[in-house]
Amino acid sequence: MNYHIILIGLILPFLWLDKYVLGEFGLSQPIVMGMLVGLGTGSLKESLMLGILLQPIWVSEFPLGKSVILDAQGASLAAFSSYTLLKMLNHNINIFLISLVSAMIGSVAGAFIDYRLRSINNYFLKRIEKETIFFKIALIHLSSISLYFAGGYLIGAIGISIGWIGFRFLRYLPTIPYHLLLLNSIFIGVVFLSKNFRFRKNWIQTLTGIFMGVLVWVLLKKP
Amino acid sequence: MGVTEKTIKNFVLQMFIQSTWSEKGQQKSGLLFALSGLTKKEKFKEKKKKIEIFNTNPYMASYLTGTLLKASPESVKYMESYYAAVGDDVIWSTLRPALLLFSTFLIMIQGIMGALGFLLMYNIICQGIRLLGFPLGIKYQVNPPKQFMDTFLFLKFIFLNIGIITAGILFTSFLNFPHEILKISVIFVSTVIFYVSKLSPTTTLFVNLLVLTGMEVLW
Repeated sequence: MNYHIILIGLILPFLWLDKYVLGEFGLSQPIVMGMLVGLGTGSLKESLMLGILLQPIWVSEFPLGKSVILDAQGASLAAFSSYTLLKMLNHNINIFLISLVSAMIGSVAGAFIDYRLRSINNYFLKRIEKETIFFKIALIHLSSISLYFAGGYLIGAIGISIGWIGFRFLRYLPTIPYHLLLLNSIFIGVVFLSKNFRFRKNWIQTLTGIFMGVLVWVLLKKP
Repeated sequence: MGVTEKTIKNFVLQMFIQSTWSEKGQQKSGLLFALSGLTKKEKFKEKKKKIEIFNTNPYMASYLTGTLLKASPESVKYMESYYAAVGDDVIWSTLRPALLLFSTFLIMIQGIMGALGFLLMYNIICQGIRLLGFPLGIKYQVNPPKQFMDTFLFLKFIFLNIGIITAGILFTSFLNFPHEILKISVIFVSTVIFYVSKLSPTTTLFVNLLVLTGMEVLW
């Protein structure tokens, strides 16, 4: 149980900093967060299942110029906060559906927090412009980073609240089979990726991929 | 400070290039932070006055920081947009989605190795650009050699093909559930309608979840 609390309270909001505040190593992507949460909660397979459920949905989104987008990082923080809470409560009914609802709201909350913090950072910029000493500039940076860290807590709190609501009420919803949820994510990912990958222009590679998929399916069907 | 020492220091400072991203200066505060750690006080003061706004791809910012150590901020201005466009097109739009999609597929067949593979590959390429960009920026200044662009075009070509082929393989996974083809078709058609209507993936997910729940109750 202690591991769950450390995960929700410290590690998940810290991973959110990776979105663009600290390093951008890809740690906040759902599949990586799934791996880390799985190692923490001891349910690696299920966490990775949630990771691959979330990943394709926002895979096509990227910040062009100074745009703020609804992306996977806020979504995965909220979803894995819900998931960790439900695991702590030993609740397994509709766990993926609840986490997906949480992810949706987390994604919107993440974008909103980004937007607000960018306005607040105008103040930090003014302070930095006045300074010439490295350590003073570093301290101002640290203040901004701590605000982002607090933002991570806010998204985590949203995830936990939705997890709790899910625990109390969403359990009565019909259970949607995992494969349908996964196909839904894959379809959203693939369809929205056509703006990045231009499937019509690159039709040879697209047909090769489909052919390989059918080949894998045919081979797996044989005993 | 020697170039190697500066390169390592810059690599650490570049981690914070976007940490104080603001509407007015965009990545300016991150750049000033890096420059304050790499240059002497007087030189930093002089450079700071000339930088009004700075925004580029965060991994490419390293090259521009190297260039800025010697070149004037005005001469770097056009390179900023150039590298932003290259970074958006190659890293954000192609490399990252392709690697994520491929890793998702790997997790389906190999488990944890897929996630580890993504971390390793993504960071070797992107943090590599961040690490090596700085000394190259010092060396080539505002005239990067042709090989630079060729390398990025090559990366784009490789990852575009990986991404498209993986997307094709993942798309055909619906073949495993022939008994639910009607439900699957409804989700697919709904997704295409939302994409054509230029709505976001989040909205599409919201509606698709409602449709799926409705189908489970009624169907």
